[in-house]
Amino acid sequence: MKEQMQKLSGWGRTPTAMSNVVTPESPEELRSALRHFAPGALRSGMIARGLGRSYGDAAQCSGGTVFDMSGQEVLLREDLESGVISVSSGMSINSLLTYLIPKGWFLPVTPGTSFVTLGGALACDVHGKNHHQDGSIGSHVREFKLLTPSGIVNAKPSDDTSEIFWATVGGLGLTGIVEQVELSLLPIESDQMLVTTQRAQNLDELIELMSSTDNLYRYSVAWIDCLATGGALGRSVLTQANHATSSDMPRKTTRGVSGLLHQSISGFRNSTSKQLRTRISIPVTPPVSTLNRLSVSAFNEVWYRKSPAKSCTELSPIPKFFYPLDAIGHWNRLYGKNGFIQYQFVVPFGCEPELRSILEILSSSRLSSFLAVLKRFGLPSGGYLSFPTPGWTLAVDIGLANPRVGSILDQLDEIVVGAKGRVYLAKDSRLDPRHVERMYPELEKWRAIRDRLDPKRLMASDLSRRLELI
Amino acid sequence: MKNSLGQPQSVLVLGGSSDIAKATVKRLIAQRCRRVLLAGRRQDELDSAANEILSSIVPTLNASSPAPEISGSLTNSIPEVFTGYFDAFDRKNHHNMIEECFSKLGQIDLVVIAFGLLGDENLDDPSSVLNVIDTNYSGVVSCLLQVAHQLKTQGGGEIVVLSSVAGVRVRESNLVYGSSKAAIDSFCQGFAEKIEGDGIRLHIVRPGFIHTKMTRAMKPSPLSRQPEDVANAIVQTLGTDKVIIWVPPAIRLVFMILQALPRSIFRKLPI
Ligand SMILES: Cc1cc2nc3c(=O)[nH]c(=O)nc-3n(C[C@H](O)[C@H](O)[C@H](O)COP(=O)(O)OP(=O)(O)OC[C@H]3O[C@@H](n4cnc5c(N)ncnc54)[C@H](O)[C@@H]3O)c2cc1C
Ligand SMILES: NC(=O)c1ccc[n+]([C@@H]2O[C@H](COP(=O)([O-])OP(=O)(O)OC[C@H]3O[C@@H](n4cnc5c(N)ncnc54)[C@H](OP(=O)(O)O)[C@@H]3O)[C@@H](O)[C@H]2O)c1
Repeated sequence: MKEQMQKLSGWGRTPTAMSNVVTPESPEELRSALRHFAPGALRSGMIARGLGRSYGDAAQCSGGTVFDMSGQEVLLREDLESGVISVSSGMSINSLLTYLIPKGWFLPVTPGTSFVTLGGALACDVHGKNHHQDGSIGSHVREFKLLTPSGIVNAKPSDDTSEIFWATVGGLGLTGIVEQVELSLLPIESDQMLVTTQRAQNLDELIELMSSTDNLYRYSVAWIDCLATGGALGRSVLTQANHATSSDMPRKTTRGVSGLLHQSISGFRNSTSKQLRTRISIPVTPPVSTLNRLSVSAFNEVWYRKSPAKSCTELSPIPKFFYPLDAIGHWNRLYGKNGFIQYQFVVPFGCEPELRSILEILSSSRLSSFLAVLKRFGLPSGGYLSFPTPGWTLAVDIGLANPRVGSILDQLDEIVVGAKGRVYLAKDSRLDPRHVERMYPELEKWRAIRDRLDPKRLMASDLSRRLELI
Repeated sequence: MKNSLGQPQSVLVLGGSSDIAKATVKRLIAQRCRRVLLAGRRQDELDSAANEILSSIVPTLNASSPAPEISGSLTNSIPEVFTGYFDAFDRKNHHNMIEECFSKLGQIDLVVIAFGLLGDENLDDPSSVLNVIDTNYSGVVSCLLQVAHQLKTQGGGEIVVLSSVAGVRVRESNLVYGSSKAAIDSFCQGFAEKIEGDGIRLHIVRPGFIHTKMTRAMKPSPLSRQPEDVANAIVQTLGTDKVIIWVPPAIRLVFMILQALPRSIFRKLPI
């Protein structure tokens, strides 16, 4: 088992401190490591880490122990008749999809990158572009094995372990370490998406368009140009999609030996697995952010003009539709050595005026945001600390060059809290702890269940300390 | 735990009644700082420092338009300010005193080493000369070693040390104080490199003339500033890799010129 002092940070690469990173190579090693490090954790804490794609400090523990789970990718059981699979928590969505797609199965929920582990996805109760239809990943998990400081639990959503289940789904790793996950899959007929793309000139148009058409699509997401102001505020490109069925696929015509036209209707090409793997990479960190306002606004302009003026529908491969950024390795380095913040919040339906105020502040303060992503959330999963609640959710990347970033985001928090909304803790690195209780009304309940599983409070992360969660 | 903007949540001040430190803590509790420990040798001074710090946010509690940094729903919760005994001369107790500070606050994001002694520059009184060296150099070094050890154990943190422009080129009129600051400044430059690998950042502040109780009896020099200016410079630097902070920034140029002057000219300057 490897053990090493390491400077860890989240995907936002904001500066951070040292943790002792332990890499167990098997479930046995993990369990003995847990026993070994537990006494020290009394003082300095311990936490699991997946692929470190949460943006802030959820998966690190300064001065404490971090269990790197990402190396263990084991497929434990599969039932591809009924679409149920059981994997080790370190399995990445990328590896799993490479295996599943050619067999006609997909994950019921996937975030905007495939480089996350299932343990990390569960601990953040991640959502995808289909939240308005399918909810978050917690709603599709059938069972998981959890190692807590007080013992091992197989937790299910609706038996006498359900409280443990819903404290762990979205529980940011603070109830213990998830060792295995069993989840239901989504059948697909092809590896292509049927994607409808259209522009919206401003926020009103976008809200109207999404509200009236999202029910026709499993997936829906809008990319808003944050630098557009005034009448163009909220100018955006909306993409909505369904999995292409075999009848949506172009019929590949080949001339058979007999000379007759022979039609192939197989929806699966080998290219998808290859695309899930190929990447180019940003090799080194530029000393200062290469994303200044000029480069961003030029990009946004080209991007908006390039999108079709009229609604258009076309086929698109799964990786291109779900994971456009995965094609560029380490794109987070573009923000320079100081890193960046991703701010994501949700406000309930009916709070469109608040959504507009926030967008106005973002665009007028020119925090140099590429694009903001707007989605509609459907029903919550039931996780006590899960982020998604019905409403509008907006996510923006914000570089740290502007010295007003802190106070502007504090101002946005006030609007969000006032609207009974919340910010996404998996992406947070700067929220005021005094907001958490109001944003997450089930925090007290979660604390009580968590304390039962970990009475000595061994589990801790920099995030849990910063937000005073425990 | 400090956040991604470098804003600390818990702060330890050694020399808790220093005017510069008070101004700095006031700025920090207007951001994310929730727990402060002011350590010093005179309880009455520490108590009044704690009161002054807390009352700096209380007016915003009643104001109709809240200050920009503490606003809306947050105005009702007040940070905790503790005080504790600490004497820079008492070096054999530094280990215990500093360990106690860490166990009291738990995680400490930022340690400000603000104590300092100006002295009277009376070379006929060797013990007063050595007091200055003991405070500004040996005292600070002793604390730094203990603090760095504690910070390393918790995975990292940040340290601010108050040096002074007086150490940049020492004059006849302030040679005791100036040399003690020169010594601690040099030590810190090397020490900053040494502890970087432990996740610890060290910032060295070099203020010019600042209006505080230390300089009350002195004639202000040009470019003199207020404690709040030092506080602002410190707050802006937290979370960055910048090691040396000049306050005001322009004084850096003045001292670069002074440093370059030949001795024959420098000794004739009326400074
Ligand atoms: C480009 C990009 C796009 C994204 N898009 C979305 C999106 O659309 N929707 C969304 O919801 N999120 C999104 N995210 C966030 C990301 O999906 C989550 O942060 C996810 O949790 C990351 O998984 P990870 O394996 O990297 O976990 P880490 O970041 O390593 O850890 C995240 C949390 O999970 C816990 N954890 C990890 N493994 C385990 C385990 N085995 N047992 C218990 N706890 C564990 C950690 O303690 C930590 O609290 C995106 C991130 C990026 C970089
Ligand atoms: N003011 C300036 O112009 C200026 C310029 C450059 C640098 N500095 C440096 O900035 C730092 C802060 O100074 P300041 O301007 O804020 O002055 P200050 O208000 O006088 O603060 C100095 C503090 O040091 C404390 N102290 C002195 N000796 C101590 C000891 N042995 N043990 C514990 N505490 C001791 C004093 O506490 P007691 O009440 O116990 O004496 C006092 O609170 C000092 O290091 C100073 O050298 C100041």
